[in-house]
Amino acid sequence: MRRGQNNFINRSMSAPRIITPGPAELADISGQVAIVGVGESVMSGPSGRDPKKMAFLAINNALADAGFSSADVDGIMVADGLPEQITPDDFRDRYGLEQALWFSGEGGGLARIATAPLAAWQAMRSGEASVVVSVLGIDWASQSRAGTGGPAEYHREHAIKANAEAPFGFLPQPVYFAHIARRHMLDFGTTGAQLGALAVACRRHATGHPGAVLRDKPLSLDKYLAREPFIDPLRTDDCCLISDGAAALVMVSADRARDFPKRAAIVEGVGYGGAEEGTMFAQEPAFTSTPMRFAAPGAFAMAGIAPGEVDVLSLYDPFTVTALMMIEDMGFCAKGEGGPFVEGDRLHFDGGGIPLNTHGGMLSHAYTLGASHIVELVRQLRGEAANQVEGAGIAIHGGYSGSDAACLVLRRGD
Amino acid sequence: MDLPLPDPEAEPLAPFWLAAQERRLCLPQCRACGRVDWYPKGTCRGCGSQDIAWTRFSGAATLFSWAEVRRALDPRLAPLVPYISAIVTLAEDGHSRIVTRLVDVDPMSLTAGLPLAVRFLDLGYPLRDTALLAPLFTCPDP
Repeated sequence: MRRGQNNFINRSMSAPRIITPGPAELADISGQVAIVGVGESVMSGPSGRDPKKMAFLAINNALADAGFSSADVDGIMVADGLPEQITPDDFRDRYGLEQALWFSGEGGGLARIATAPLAAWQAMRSGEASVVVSVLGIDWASQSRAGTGGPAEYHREHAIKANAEAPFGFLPQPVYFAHIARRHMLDFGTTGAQLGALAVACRRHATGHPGAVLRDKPLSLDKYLAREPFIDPLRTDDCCLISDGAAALVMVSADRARDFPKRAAIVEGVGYGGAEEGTMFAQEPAFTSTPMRFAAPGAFAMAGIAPGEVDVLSLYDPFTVTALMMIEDMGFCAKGEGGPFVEGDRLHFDGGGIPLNTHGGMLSHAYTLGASHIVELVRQLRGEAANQVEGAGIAIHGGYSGSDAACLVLRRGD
Repeated sequence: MDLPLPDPEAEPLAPFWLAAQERRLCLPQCRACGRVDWYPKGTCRGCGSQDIAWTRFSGAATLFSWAEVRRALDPRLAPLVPYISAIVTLAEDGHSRIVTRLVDVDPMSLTAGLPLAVRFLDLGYPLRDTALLAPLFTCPDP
């Protein structure tokens, strides 16, 4: 295999991702893929660290966790479209290796981390890869401080947004989601205190997690409410962190799941769905819903489970209201009943309800676009999480990007 | 820092901004079913027709949702702060959603469905002069 040449390049690496509104038909991969290693870099605010170096730290930790060496890896997944993600050449250069590497942009983070096992399974089935690493490294905290890049870049540079939204002040994402939260409040009576319950639950989990960026910043509901909204009705505590960090996971065929030092997490279901209006939130007909309403039913059906059987939940949480909508869209409660559903300590790891983002989520752990959420779920299923949910056997992740959403069901391996 | 100005000649929204300079609210509308084609797709979201034409609207609207921005995260918007970002529904099409800004209203008085009327004012009203007219919304004259 010559340097600079990859065995297989997933088509998504060269063509723009096409999102079809509504649910996607996905192959049944129940019980076929196992996650056998997870790892992260240190998470932080602006640090000047290189995203690829952080990504390789996370990969090193994930490979060590699985008992693999870099030479065992034959597949790499990143999030297509995100800048500064690693390439197969980066991987070979980093480890001084020459091996062929299957490469796909259908992993990393955002919505697609939840369906990454499907793409990995397709590569395993066709013999293109057997040990697949998905990784996401990001330095948006450093970039935002420098006034470049960051999460708002896409929205700033979008031609329609630049001409129909930004001139009126409808930018960036916290402004969109303040409108969505407002409408959820108008339609369903949702309150600021109910959004606060989500922020408080995630912060409580962060204060119990040694790797969380906000581990030393406890947040009570009173303290949350005492801070005036800055984009009313959103408070800063309703908005996720912007972070530097990386997270990685290792996938293999589930028939090898027992061959690893730690208990595997078995993929039981995946689901995917697209929004009607892409990232044009103002135009979305289902204004107070997410495409999770299309993604979750397929994942639950593939896994043969109901929401009531879920032990641990993780959700892509750029804003409290986003997580609230996805709780409804997944069917944990009816549309509009999310507010009362999340009150009190029902989302806490020891609250007796449905534990949410037990590492702190993007709201309080780090903004690794959902990659750390999967790391946390695997640790929960192994029984080694910092905020361990007793007897965790079924874990669900909801990935999201605005224009699409995906759902992943994991089961504790034997 | 300057406000983020639109390019009034950039397609596909040029007719919107050029009409606004003449104090007219113009949007693409389906001639078959009346649905506003916003943002322009060229195929009606309501009936699938492609018979869509730029049409003048009355500017009567109701409030769909809003956010009071007290701190701008985009530094270009800092000169406007505090401002009320809003999405309004035009009287002619109950499905329509137009992103705008509310001016000369009391934020405490806002409710869903509040009647509104367009006012063609400087995009930076009341704090900045951009020499560009924009369809902003306020409460109709009694």
